[in-house]
Amino acid sequence: MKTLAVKSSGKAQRATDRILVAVDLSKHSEATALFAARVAKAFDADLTVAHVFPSEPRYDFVGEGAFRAFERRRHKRATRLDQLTKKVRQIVHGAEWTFLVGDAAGEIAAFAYENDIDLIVTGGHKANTFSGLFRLNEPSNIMRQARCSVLVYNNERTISQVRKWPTNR
Amino acid sequence: MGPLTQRQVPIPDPLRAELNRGEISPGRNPDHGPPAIPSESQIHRILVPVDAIHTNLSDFSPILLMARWLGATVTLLHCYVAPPSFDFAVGDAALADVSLHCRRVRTRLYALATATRNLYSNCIGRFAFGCPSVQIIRQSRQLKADLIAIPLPLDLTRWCWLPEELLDELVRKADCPVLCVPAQKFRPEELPTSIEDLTPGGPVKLPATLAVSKNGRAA
Repeated sequence: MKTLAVKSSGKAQRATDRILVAVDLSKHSEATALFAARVAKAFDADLTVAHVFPSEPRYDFVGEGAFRAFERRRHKRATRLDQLTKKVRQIVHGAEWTFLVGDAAGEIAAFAYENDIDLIVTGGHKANTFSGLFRLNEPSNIMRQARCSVLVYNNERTISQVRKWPTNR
Repeated sequence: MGPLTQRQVPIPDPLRAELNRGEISPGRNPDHGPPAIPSESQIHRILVPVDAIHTNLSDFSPILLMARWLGATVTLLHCYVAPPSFDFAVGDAALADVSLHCRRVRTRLYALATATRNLYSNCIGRFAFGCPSVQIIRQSRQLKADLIAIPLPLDLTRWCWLPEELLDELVRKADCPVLCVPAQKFRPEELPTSIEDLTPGGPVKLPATLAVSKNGRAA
């Protein structure tokens, strides 16, 4: 067998430099974010917590009250995202958050492409028949659109394992 | 029918037993290689479903890089299903052809596992019979895999072994996280450098080519 010798460049290369964790701020999001934080710590990678808020409704007959409620909901989500990021910072100190607006899978894929993200971590919930029929499964949509690696964390089954994991070993 | 079922032969020693179960490829024995970089993650076992016929080493090189960083064991899994071209085959010759095809695919898997072990020694090959999505989940439970990492090919012609619907099913039903790694444009001069960078020791010798002859054996 022919072999070739390779000179060492003397610098260790990280497998993953930048990780994006996409959360929907549901009850499973904390487990997903903590899992991503542990992965980021293992790889010594930068971590960004992202949430995509749906675009504002475009109806001609909607009053000002509807838009005010929409803005309140948006502000509430941003606050929850900030709180979640504070929890993540207990593991990865330099974690940042970003609040995006639009189609979830498309915005996450675009953000990952623009920011040279190496790995997207997202939570996977059990899909029911309805979501399976109409392709409403966001992790699968992200997998189709993203150009980087996508890790789907099934937090409904492994949430107890994440809580057992020590922060510092 | 012999080759389509697991072998039930008397086993002389434990190593032989592992070989018969398809856990060790008949190349050199797996060693643990250089000490891995200690990691905080608890990902110790990574299951990598591959198509032994179409998957290239470059398709899952990012997974090997990740496994090296995490110090995890990589298990390459091929799920064998007789191709549809055998559907209309009849007679004893048909069974012989299916058996031959199965053995050739198994040999390709072992050649792939051997080539992989030249890059990352903590790797084994495993051969299973049945539908990919079912077998991947079953094998991940048996191995107690911490991660299922799927190398996705760039060209859709090679996509047929694991279509999108099956991938969705895998994501929904798997007990562990599922990682989808898109294939990257591969330049042979880059891969040895990236793997070797993680090695604390001296230069690494890598096979320039791994030619596979017509009878499926690695040359």
